Amino acid sequence: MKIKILIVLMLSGMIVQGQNTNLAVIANPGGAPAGLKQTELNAIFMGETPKWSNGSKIVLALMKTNTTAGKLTCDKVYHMSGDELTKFWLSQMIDGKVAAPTFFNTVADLQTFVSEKPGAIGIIDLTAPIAGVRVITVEGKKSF
Amino acid sequence: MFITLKTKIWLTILTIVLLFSFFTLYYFPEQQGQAMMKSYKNEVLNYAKTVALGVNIALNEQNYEGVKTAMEYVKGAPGLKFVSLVQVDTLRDKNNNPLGIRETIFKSFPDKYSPDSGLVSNDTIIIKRAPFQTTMMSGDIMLGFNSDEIKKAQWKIRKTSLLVSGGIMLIGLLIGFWLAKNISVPVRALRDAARQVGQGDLTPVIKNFPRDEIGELSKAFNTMVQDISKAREIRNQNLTLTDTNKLLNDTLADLKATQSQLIQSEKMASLGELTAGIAHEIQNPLNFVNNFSELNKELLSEMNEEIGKGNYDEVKEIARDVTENEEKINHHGKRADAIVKGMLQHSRSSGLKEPTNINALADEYLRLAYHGLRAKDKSFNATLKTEYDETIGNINIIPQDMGRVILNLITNAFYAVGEKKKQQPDYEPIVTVATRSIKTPLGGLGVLISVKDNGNGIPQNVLDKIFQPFFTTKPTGKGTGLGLSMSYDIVTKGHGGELKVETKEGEGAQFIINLPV
Repeated sequence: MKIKILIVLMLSGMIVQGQNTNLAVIANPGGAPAGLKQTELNAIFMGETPKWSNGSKIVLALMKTNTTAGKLTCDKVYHMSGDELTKFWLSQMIDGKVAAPTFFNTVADLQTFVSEKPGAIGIIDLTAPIAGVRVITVEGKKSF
Repeated sequence: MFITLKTKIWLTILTIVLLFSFFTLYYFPEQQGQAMMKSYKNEVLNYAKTVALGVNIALNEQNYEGVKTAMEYVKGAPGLKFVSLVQVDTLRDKNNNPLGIRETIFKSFPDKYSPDSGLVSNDTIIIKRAPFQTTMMSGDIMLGFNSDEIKKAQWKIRKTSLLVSGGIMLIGLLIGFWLAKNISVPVRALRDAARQVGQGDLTPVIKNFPRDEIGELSKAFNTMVQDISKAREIRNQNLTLTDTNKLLNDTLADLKATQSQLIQSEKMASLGELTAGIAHEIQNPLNFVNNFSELNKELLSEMNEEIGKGNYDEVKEIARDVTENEEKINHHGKRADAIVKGMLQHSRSSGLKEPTNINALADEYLRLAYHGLRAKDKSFNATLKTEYDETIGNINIIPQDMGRVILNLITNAFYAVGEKKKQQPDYEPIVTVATRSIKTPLGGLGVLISVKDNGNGIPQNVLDKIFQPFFTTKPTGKGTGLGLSMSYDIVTKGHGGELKVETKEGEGAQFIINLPV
């Protein structure tokens, strides 16, 4: 019983630690602006804004919902659980309204994807190194 | 119950056609339909499983495009009505205990179709579900396929079956007609013909028979009828022959009786001819006896007178004359006795051969025949010539039979020369009787006895008939036609000899008896 309690406490600590991590928005240098408002960010990641101002298509990149960054993204950007996000995108995709985001297991993969995909924009946690991509400020901040 | 062969054929064909029709119209389409439906359902289920697997993988990877791709995998499948992603949630209470299952249609494709999550298969739609389960979401892929395609396919099968069945029925009808024509018709023809034959009519002939066992049977039947016809004809002929044989036997019996009578008549005729000759022969000795007895009577009267006178020398002379006359009377009496005995022998043939002087026999019958004819016809006259071979001696013959032959030949010769004499008054009739000893070709001895005349001869057209019984050229009542026939039998069968004739028309004929010794 003590062991179970200990495990629960450790997991809770990890969640608390993850929730304290800030997120950063990165984008391919082509198309995306240098900074976004929170509402613009929300609109982009909810699929409501399909194109950049220069007309290029917005490609979304997210960490999988079972990753720390993914969970934070669900919480801070979508205000949904991972399952709800899945159903949300599933619904959006099947309806053909928007192109569903691409989910990654690692930040490195996501960064590589964004750096290589014009119009791509993604959300990562700040603990990961940032290279080859532009960090987009949200409400003037590099993390949120 | 009598069922005709034609009915049996049609019943058989009808049964086969009905069974086949049942198979093609009901059983086969039903089985095919069920098999197609089962296969179709399996196919739909496989579609569902495939989509569910794809969805499962895509969801695990959060590859929503993959989910869409997986769901669109069946988009082009024929008969697809909808594909739905059914979300299955387990309802729990505040203590996390399961309360039940809630199914909701999460998404469907195409959008316009919104099936109920509890929809099940019915006559118009086939519903198949395949589960997927991820950490984010669990549920089923539910596919709805309409069954129109299957029904169309089933109807196509039934239509094809109907056409096939119709074709089979048509073929069955044609086979039925063909069988009826090739089996029933010939068999009925055979039956009718057999009935006709059974009623005694042997004229029916089976024609146009097929080249099969029935044809062989028809040929055999025709052959049988022909055989029966021939057998009947033969039987009728046999019956006719039997009747004819009976008639012939009766006729033969009559003929034998008549022949016996004729033979008897012939004997009597020859006896009559002999009697005249014999009477003439006996007359001479009787004349001698009578004359010498009269003479002796006168001599004895004269001798009595001389005795009264005492002239004994004269008496002795008369007595000597009387004695001589008595010897003559005795001689001629014996001669008459011999003639009577000969006549008895002639009438009573012993049938046994005995040594006989053929020359004496021939001469005796020559004289008997001549005198017999002269007794009946005083105008008849002929020169008789004899050429006897004295070296012959006695030969073994049946004298009565051979005498009858010689008598017959001489009588015929006398008749021939007599007829010619009537035609030619200046003609001089000559009849020659001759005997001659000969050697046979095998080295044995034989005797020829010939009777030759110089009459008109025998015409060539009757020459081969003269030895046939009852053949005669003499007028009716003058001859029986059995003389030469009997003579031929006596010579050939009775003595193993030959009797042949040599003739030249207008110049005469010669009958030659050739007897082996």
